[in-house]
Amino acid sequence: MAGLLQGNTLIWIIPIISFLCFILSIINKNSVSRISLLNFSASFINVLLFLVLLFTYIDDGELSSQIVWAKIGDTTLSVGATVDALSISMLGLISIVTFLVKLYSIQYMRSDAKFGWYFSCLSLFSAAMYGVVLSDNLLFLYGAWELVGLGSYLLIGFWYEKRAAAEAAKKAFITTRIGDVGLLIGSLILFKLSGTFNISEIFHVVTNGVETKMISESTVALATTLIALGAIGKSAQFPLHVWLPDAMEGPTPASALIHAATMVAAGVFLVARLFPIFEVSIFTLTFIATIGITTFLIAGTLALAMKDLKRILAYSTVSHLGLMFLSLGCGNLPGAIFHLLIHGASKALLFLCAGNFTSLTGKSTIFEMSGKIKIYTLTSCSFLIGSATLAGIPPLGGFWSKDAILVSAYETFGIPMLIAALLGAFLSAFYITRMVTIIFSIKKPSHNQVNKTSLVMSMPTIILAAFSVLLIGLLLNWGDQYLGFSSFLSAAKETDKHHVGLWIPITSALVTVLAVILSWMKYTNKIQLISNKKVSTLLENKYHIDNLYNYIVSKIVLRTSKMISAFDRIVINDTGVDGLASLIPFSSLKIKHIQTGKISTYLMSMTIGLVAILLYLIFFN
Amino acid sequence: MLDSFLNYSSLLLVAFPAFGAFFLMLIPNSNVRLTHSIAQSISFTTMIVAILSFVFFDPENSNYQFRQTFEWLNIISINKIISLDLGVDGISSFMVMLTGIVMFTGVLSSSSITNRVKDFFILYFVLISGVFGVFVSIDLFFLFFFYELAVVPMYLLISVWGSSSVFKTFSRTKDYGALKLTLFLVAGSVLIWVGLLSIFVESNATYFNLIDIKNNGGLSPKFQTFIFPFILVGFGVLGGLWPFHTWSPDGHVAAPTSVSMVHAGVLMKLGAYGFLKIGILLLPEGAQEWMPILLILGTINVLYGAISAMGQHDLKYVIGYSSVSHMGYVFMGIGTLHHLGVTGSVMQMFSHGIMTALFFSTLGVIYEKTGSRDINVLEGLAKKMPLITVFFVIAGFASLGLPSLSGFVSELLVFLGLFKTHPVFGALGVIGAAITAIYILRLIAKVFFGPAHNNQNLLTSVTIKDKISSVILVFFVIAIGSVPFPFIAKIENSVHNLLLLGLGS
Repeated sequence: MAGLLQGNTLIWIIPIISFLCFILSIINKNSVSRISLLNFSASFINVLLFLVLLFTYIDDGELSSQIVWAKIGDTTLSVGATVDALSISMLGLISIVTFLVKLYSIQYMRSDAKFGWYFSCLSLFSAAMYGVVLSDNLLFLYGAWELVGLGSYLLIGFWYEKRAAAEAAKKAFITTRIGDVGLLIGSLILFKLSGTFNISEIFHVVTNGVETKMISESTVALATTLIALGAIGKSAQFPLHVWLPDAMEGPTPASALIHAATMVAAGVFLVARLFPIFEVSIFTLTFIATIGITTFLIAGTLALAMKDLKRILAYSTVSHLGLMFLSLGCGNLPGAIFHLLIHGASKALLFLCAGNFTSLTGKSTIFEMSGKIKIYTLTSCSFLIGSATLAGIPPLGGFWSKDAILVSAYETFGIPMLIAALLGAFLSAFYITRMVTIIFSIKKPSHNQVNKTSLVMSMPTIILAAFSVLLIGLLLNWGDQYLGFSSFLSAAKETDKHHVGLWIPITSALVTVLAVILSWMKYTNKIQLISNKKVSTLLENKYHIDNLYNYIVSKIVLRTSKMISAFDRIVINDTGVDGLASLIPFSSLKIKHIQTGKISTYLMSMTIGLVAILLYLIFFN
Repeated sequence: MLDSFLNYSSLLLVAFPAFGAFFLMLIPNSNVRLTHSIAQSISFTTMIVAILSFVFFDPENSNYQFRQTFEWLNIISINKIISLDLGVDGISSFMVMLTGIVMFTGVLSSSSITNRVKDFFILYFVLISGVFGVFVSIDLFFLFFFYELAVVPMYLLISVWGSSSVFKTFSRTKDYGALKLTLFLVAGSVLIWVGLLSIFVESNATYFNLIDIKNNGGLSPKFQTFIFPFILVGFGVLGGLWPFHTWSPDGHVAAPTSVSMVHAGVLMKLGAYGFLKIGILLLPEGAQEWMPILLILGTINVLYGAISAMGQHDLKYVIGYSSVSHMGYVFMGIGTLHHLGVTGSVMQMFSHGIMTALFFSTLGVIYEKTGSRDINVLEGLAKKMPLITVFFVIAGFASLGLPSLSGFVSELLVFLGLFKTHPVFGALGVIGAAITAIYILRLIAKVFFGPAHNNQNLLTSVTIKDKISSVILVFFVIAIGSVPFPFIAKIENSVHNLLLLGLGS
């Protein structure tokens, strides 16, 4: 028993519990009570195991464990897991959010006919997600990464009888798959360079190789850029962001887990995990930063135009993931991960609240909800806390994480990038205030306000709200074993502290407050801000990006495939194959005329033949 | 006891279906149920023998195992001996297991055959006996003999029990499909026969078998380079190599379910098997000369097949073209001549066989229940046929290379081999897998998801036979995908040996 509880084996138990939970939920698919108990206890145990691992890690340092998966000749493919600062941070987020979401779902999904299937998918998803964060090699990571995509596919398409849900699931999988082509090719290039999939060995070989000029920097840049494509797909970055808003067709708690806190953050995690080789190439980092800031701004403006609450939150997620990418591109790894945690907690909370609001009012757009929700309820309070955190209002967590990113953006790319990022921060505060103002609008008659949310569905939101506040604690210095988040995450860079002065935090705080005030005044009709018809149509059409993709798919891809298949049928088959075949009766019809039946013709050809043979023998022999 | 039984396993694999066919001839025509149960028991026994011969195959021993030799023809004047020489190495025992599984599941999926059941099974067993024969023959004459034995019943199976399809602008009758398939395969076999006969004449060996020809100094490089194209095109036709692939989608569509399963699942693998055993082993220099061609054509197979599959709206055509696409990975893997790539292509041969059999058996049920195979017509089947949907989705995800299912393992190994030797082709291969994702998911979303039509009154449950058949196939799809190690261990040594003997590297 003592051996079993050693850290190294313990690592495997977390994903295995989730996986067993998946299997058992399928087997017991008709028993609501059994599934509830099973999922509740499994995810609770995982939270406890996370705590055990956390303390083991703090005491003993990194843990790892490996199993050989396949061995061909001198190539060994193994499946390995490791616990380091990065994976333990992610593990915490995933296990806690999974637990709370499952708790919430027990109530939320109770009346659904596919209750068991829902929990199976959720468990499958979390098992795969644990795999992603624990994996110590690219191959296993890719495997888990794809299975995470499968979990997301199944949950988005949960209500598959709805055409929209089926389409959204398909779109999500295909879009992320396009990015994954890059991830797989990139990993294979790294395999070619280093002969292994093990991440730390790859670091070793690649950094050494680049130093000794054995490996060209451009090859590494190519590989990392391709891997970044995978991250862009999963984390819904521009131009592969289109699947995430549609993914809101799935059940809301699943969105809270997958499309707010965990899976979409996997892209950021991937870059963070492979950061030492991303750092090799400035090109890749600039590429990531560019993608990040573009997404931050594009999605921020789109969130401004959405009416559906979940879609606002979805675009907001896309936008904040952009901010994390920007941070990574600026070389600020701790900043990105800290924002990931803060955002994960507060966004999951907002989604769960959105679920509560929808089940209270039966509506999904903020305008329809407007005025129907009491502000003095647990759910509403946590909704406000989550919104304020996300808007980056000081002194909540979102402010500090955003601030760290702004500083690094300024240090790496200078003033223009800082201005762009501040604009993004402004947008972020603006659309969140819009959302809050409209939902809690008190101008409408309040007699049909409803306020019955069961405790099971409001407790998780409160807990998450507490987390999103308390996470600031991570930034503090807790003594010898924990010297603040950035040294926890990257022990090597402790001294890497710059002081740019206070002007950036102050500016960002001012920008945020300004955005909040302006937005509040606009949506309570206290002031009229200029609004351009053309701009709002453009935003409602999501910059026509979705339309462009639809056009490409239906007009170019599908047409090409129709053309190729017609080519195959008409040119290769009907002309090539059948044409050649029809030559046979044709030529035999022609040749049959030789057989005339006239003795004189035969005699003549025999004579010609004889003369030809004789001439040949005489002249050429 | 088991040992001595296993020693005869390669002979039994050929004999069981052949005697089964003979035995069925003695059954009265009218007793359909008896015919079915006899067919099931014969194929079940054969499958067990096939699985046992794989399980008890000793991977450490690089010789042919379970070997049985019977001298057949001794041409004293030129000192050549042709013998019925049967035995398996890692690759062939893996293929034998595939054949056994597909054969049994195919019989289970034949419940829709109502017309001339006895004749159907007789031909089916002759076909299977031929396929087993090719995989266990070491002697090249008998390899060819068994190959011909497999081709002929195909014509009758399709043209009597197949189905014709009529589309808006064109139609494909079952006779057309059957005739084209047979002519193509015969044309391919002519080329193979030319190749084999010239090897026979050219070699110094007494025995006309793979081992002896190799041991007696092999063949001259010039001869190899000259004769390799015959082998390339001959076996390429059989494996559906572009541009000789058109017989295969049309043939799949015209054939009845179980024949499609055997055809796409096993018969196409004979082509790739021939590349390995004759192409690489006997003609290594020729292979090195010509491999770039195979690699390029294989890449075309992958991409062209996938794009063509996207343009189809008949479910069977989609799967037919996806077979063309997936066989491309087999060719690409062989084209690397690298042990990772070749191991990958052997894995892909098995994986594709299982996966396609699963596809065709589910499609058979769908067609039987709905009377349609048109993607534009079918919708929302998941509500009415949940189990079939699960099976199809598993096959679909295996084919798009989802990790933990068999397709991923085999494609990954092929990619690893390609990245070691030809990275650009590797990248194209990865892109091919993404295109597969597009057409498979579009198909699933359209056919299985979405609102169910009320006019499709088809809540008939899936028969127990179909369930067993799909469960066996699903088991292997998941087993190979999740725990590939034992399977790879069986074939790895043989692949290594093949490359070592052939290429000396």
